[in-house]
Amino acid sequence: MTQKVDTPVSVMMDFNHYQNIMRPIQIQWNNKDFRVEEVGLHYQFHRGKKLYHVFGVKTQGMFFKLILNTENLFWKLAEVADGLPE
Amino acid sequence: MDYLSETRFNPEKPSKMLIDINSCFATIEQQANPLLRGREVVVAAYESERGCILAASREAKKLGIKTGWRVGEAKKICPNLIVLTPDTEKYRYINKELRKILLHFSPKVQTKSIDEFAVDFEGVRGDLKEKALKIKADIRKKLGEWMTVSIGIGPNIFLAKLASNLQKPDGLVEINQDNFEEIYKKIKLTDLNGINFKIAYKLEINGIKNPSDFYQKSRQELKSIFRSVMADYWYFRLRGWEIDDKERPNKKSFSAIFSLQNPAKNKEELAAIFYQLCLKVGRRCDKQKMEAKGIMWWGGGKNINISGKVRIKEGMINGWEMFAKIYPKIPGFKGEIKKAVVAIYDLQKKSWQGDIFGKRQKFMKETEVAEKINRRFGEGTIFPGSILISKKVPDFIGFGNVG
Repeated sequence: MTQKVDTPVSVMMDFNHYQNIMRPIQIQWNNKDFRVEEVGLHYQFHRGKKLYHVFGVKTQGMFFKLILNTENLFWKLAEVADGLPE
Repeated sequence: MDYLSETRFNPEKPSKMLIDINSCFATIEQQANPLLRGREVVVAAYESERGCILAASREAKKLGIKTGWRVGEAKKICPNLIVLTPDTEKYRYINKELRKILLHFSPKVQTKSIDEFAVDFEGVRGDLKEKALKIKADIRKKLGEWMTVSIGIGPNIFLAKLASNLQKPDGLVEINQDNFEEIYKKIKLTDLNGINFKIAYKLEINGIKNPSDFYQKSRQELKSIFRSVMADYWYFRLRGWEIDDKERPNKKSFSAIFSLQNPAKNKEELAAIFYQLCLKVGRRCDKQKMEAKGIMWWGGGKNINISGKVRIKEGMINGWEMFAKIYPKIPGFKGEIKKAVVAIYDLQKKSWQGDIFGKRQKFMKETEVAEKINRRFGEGTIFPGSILISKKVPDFIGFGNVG
């Protein structure tokens, strides 16, 4: 089941300058920590001139869609899913 | 047109490639969310039972679920079906990135649709099958391991497209002068892109049962069946000569259609839909540097049908102007409008320079500024006051040719 949310979220990022890879490694949401196991897709889009980066990440049995607003560098959680039908 | 006298299959080494993303929207969703991989997933216009399925994952396809079905129908076959609604930004991103990957291999890349690209390798050195394998590997590396494409190679785009359809998912097939006859014998007429059941029936009653029979027919025989230029097109297409990559003549009309999940119940709600549709057709018209002399609109639902058209001497050049022309003509109505269409026609090259009294010029200037603001701060920052109370049409992606 997928739940659309629109809420601020704490995200820990890792930048690897050898491989030029930047990825979220941990999320804190609802007072719980979730370690990122896999980044499914990372993409960008513009809303007007604002650039947003979106990360689809898998944690322990959960999926999170995280959006980074590059203007203020704030993170938002847009979607939570468990990968099961409704 | 040096192939016009040809009667044989194109003997040149195949140089056209068609790349097709397998189950495009569903595969992208499975790539984005690893928990969906290996599961029956569909992307539908709406999550409700009547929502139309736009893409089914390969797992859902294995159960027989097809694009175009209603969600309700699919759930009868697969009660555990995962239904998602389209995420257009994600799909556009993949489309752009895939195009970038292909441009590394050849400068001649044509975006055929959101999930399909044609690449011309004429004059490019190297074996095409090796290049195709490299493209597949690059896609997996840059876009993700779940992203698979079917690649077809052929002497023309038509046969490359046919080849890409022969092996799915993750296929790689080449059609050339050595294997085309064998392939034509194995497939059905409706497997040929452009042959629907109606045309297939027409061919069958003329003794053409399969593509192999179709290929055997002479130009004269095909002319007596089709009675149009289509006869020549099919004659050369099936022989591997390129007739489909020609620049298409300028469009004569543009249209945009929207099916409403929440029906419009009054003039204001319907006007908001028409406004969005006007912006869509207006932008496409502007991109082609055209202006429209006519615009028609239609809204329909159960027991209700309203429509109208406006023609103006001086062409309309943007969506704001188009909306301004139709808004006063939209009548009040009772009932629920479920589908809305806006079409512009009688297109011609943009020629408007300005008017004597400057009234229209002022309007154009204002709308140009409004468009700039919307581009900078996001869609819907500035909109006509007439649609203040209503909702926005969600972004949608068409499946047709994007040219």
